[in-house]
Amino acid sequence: MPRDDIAARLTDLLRDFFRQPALALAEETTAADVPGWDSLAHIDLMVTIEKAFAIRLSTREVRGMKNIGALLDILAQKTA
Amino acid sequence: MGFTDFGFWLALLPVVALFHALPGRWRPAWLLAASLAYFTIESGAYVLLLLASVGWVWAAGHRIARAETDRARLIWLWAGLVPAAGVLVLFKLGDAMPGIAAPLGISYYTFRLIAYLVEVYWDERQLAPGWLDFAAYVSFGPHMVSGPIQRPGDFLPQLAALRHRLDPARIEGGLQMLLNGLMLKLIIGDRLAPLVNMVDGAPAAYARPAVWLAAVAHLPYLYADFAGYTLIALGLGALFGIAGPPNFNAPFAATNVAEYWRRWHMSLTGWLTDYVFMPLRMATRHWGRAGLVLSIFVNMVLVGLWHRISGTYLVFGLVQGAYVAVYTLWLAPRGGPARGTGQPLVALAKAVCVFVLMDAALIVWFAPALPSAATEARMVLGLLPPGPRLFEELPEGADIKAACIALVLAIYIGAGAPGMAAIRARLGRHVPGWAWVALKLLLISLLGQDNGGAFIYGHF
Repeated sequence: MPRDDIAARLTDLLRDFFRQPALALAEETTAADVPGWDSLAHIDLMVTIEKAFAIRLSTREVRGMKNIGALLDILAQKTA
Repeated sequence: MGFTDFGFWLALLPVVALFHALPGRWRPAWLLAASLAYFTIESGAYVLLLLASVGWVWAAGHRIARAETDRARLIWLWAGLVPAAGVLVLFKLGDAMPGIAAPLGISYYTFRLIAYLVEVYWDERQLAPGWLDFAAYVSFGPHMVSGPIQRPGDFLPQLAALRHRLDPARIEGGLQMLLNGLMLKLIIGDRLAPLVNMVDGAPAAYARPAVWLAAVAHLPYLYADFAGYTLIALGLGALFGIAGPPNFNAPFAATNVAEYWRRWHMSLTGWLTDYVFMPLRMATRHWGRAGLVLSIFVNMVLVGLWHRISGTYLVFGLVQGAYVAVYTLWLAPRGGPARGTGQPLVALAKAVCVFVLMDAALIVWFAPALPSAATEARMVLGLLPPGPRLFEELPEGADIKAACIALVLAIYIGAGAPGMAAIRARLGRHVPGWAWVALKLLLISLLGQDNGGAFIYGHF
């Protein structure tokens, strides 16, 4: 899947997940920038992403990702 | 020789002076030498154990970074973790046996070793630039005894920068911080210690006012003692040019139990969240609510048991697990942007509830064994007849009126000292920094208590 398509799908998914229809994502966006994205929400979000993209994420991948850009890299690689 | 000994400060002066006078490239080595010397004075030959742990984890970190397969990476992670954590568990088990003293700060340097391994496992760019920097990180003297637990990614770049420059402004900030810590510990915490120790020693022997006052004082006493220690440790670190992580952020202002744990002993709860709770939550993410509850309970039981492997700390952890699980499952707002806490009065009522819940759990935390915790809880609830004693058995020099003032002050400071920032900002224009230092020194010498100077967390 092209990276732009993934980014668009991810934005929809996050807007839905955090109930923030106006949420805008950039490569540098981190969890701290999104209200409600705490450590508990993070895991639920990862499960939602796993289901939406039909992939499996490891703890190392989930913890190693520093921002949205890193998440997009992983998704692009896994859906390639 | 701890933070409340005159000898410690006397020995510290030349160490800090030389640190600043040395050429930059020698500073990390001097810091390591001073830290190891301090450790050896306190714990003797255990320094060999510390060095062996440092060497082993250093080697394991390199193996992880060089591993070519996920499997090899994981094997080296566990090969590094098991001996480091195993030594800690052995000493915690040995705690129950008389005559075995654990090495200084073993909990805290083990937390740093584990943090390093896991961070390198997650991202090999976290590898320390050299063995000397890594050893200086693990054995960093100012944070050795009871933390705070700094992450390698926060400490190592600061240490590397010390080779090139040392900001003299850090010294004054550090000095103010450690004097604040000494005031919190010696003027406030040590005024509450005699009351708490007296009643906890024989709760059934005391009348209701004494039992209730001591029960209320548990949490503010622990706060003044431990937050005081932390400020001293952070201030000392700043004298060596290192800014450490905060450990307390107005915990008594928390309006729910989860927020309380994000404000109390923050460097430990953050460590547990990243290295225990999150991996566990990932592993159990398809188990629904059961996975969440299990992760919460494992995490909170560890919060209790790392102090010491005993029944009281197990019960403490289970109680905290129940608090956090009930809050997370039924009370926490879900999804969407975080809501405010609402009306100030509602926020105050919530903060009081959290304070009472945490204070109640500390009855078992402070108790020497479960039966005495049960006795004290029943005394507090009025289920046992009151004892004959009141405050007459307080040791000489301890004064109940001063203890009550200290109690109110500890709660005020622990709630974030509302209004204080504005006063300080207004005074700051007229009062120079050195005058604050002089005033704090004067207050400590006039009002500081001399209770032998032990810190509660010095034993963990």
